[in-house]
Amino acid sequence: MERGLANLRFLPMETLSRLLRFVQDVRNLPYVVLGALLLISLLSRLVLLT
Amino acid sequence: MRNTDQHLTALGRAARAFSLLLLVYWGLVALVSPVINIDSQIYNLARLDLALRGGLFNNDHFTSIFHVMYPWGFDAVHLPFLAIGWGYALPSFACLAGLCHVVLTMMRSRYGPDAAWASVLGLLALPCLVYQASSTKNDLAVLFAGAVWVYARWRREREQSNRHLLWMVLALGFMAGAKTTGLLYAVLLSLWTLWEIRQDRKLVLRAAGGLAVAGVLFGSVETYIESARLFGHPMGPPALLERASNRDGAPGAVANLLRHLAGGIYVGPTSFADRQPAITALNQATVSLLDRLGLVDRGIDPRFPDRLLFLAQSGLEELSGFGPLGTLAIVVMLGAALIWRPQAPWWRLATFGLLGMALVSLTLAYNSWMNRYLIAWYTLGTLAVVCLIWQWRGPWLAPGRWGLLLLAAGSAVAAPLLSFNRHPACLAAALLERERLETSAYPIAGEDRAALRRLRKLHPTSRIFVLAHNESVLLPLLQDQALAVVAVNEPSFRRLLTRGTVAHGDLVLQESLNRSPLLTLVEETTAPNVYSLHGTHTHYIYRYLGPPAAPPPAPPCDDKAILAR
Repeated sequence: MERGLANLRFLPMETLSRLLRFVQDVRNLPYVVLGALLLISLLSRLVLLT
Repeated sequence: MRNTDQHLTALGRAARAFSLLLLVYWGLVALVSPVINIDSQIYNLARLDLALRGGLFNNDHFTSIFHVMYPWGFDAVHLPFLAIGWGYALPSFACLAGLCHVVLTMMRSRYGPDAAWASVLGLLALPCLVYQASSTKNDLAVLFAGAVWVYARWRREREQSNRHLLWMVLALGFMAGAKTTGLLYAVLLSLWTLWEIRQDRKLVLRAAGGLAVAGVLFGSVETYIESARLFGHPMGPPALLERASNRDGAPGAVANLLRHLAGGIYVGPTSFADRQPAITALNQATVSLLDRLGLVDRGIDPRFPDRLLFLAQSGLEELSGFGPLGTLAIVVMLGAALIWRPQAPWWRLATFGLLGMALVSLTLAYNSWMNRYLIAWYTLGTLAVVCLIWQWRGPWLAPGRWGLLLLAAGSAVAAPLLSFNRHPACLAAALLERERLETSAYPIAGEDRAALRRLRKLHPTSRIFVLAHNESVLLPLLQDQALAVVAVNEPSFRRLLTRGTVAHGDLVLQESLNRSPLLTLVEETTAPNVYSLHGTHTHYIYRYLGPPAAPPPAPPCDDKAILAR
């Protein structure tokens, strides 16, 4: 457990925390939808092209 | 005036209740419906299945020019949903939810919560918009991207923060990659964006760089490259582009604008089974006006001459109009053209709506299923109606607002009830009769699939070739893994015959009767054409009875294998 938590330290926790706060702010809902659509689109196109 | 501190009144609560109820309904439709849109079954989503088999470039599985020529930024979003088999329309519904959030926030800020919820209900009362929101087409994605651009611009001004500029740029990248017409709007809004920040040179450079990166990443550049390679033009075959464009300049634009405005006049739901007198009168009046102005057949797609003009307001997704609210929007947009109120939000919204319709009229040739190209402009027109009523201070204030609410609520509830494949009963059908619902807009695809399944049982080793043309409905057949159909176009099929790839006994489905001596008819499928009362489709399934394929040639001498021995 402790080793697992220690591994988490390698994650950019500050960035993740900011991202979480951004997503949780209801005013950003249109941005979150757009960001999700862009991300899925980009990954799907990569799959389709490769 | 700003009414941000106002509380919801009974009117606002009623609008909110109707809006939330309808949003839940459309969300459910989006979640459970199969792919019910013909265009998606022909190309938007069908090409994803084909691209999984052969990529985008040089893909022999593509059978239609539409598989290549249209940008696929938004179509590609559906790939995970094709794998899951559910929630196909959730991306479009997410766009609707985002759009409603933008409208709610901005209208609440300006006119208070009652107007905000009335605006949302007004949008849900536009049949074309909600049908697109429960569809897999890309039209709503363009509108949503535009809404995000407006919202980010608004927040940038209010919060004095340039981080919203990033979202403006991303929205334009998404818009450019979602649809060919989105590219035009994205270019115009990009210029607008750069113009607005022109005082800050560094910011202009950063924004321009961001737009370039967003264009490359999200603008579906690859489909333009492949189109240029195949057709000599990045947008597609020049002949098709010419057919789809308004070739008559200003006269064509005026004629098209008149057709679009007339098409926005709601005279009741259209049924193809019974051409109502009101629709016939509207069609005739429009053609008569065009005739008097010397504009008959100007600006049209040659397949849709004015003698066949039919301004549909049906529950068919492809031919749906905008209902009574759409008519009000038209009235306000025309009103804005006659008076000058540049400071009034309703006037600005209505004027932009009308200019948008004019831009569509100027660039694109008229055809019968163009309403979805106008959803952004009807949205602005509808919001203009709400703004006008909420800034009105005359004696009929309360009746006017309640009248709008009742009209919007009635239209919003009627939209699913008048649809043949989004009706409440279709929610149950999506679970219990999923395949029938899937092909309800093109029933013969279901008949073909059933016939091929029967024949597959009789001939389990036979392969199934679908001899497809540009507008063949492929997705329902491609998605049936057990059938393992091979979609081919005519030249590819001839090549396969020549090479002996088509084996004795293989099955071939095609839409026209082909009297080739090598093909023996084994089954005909017939189904009604839902777009006309008396029309039917007939397709033909053959067995290939040519010579058995020659045994494969001996493998070439492999020097490495010999040396290894």
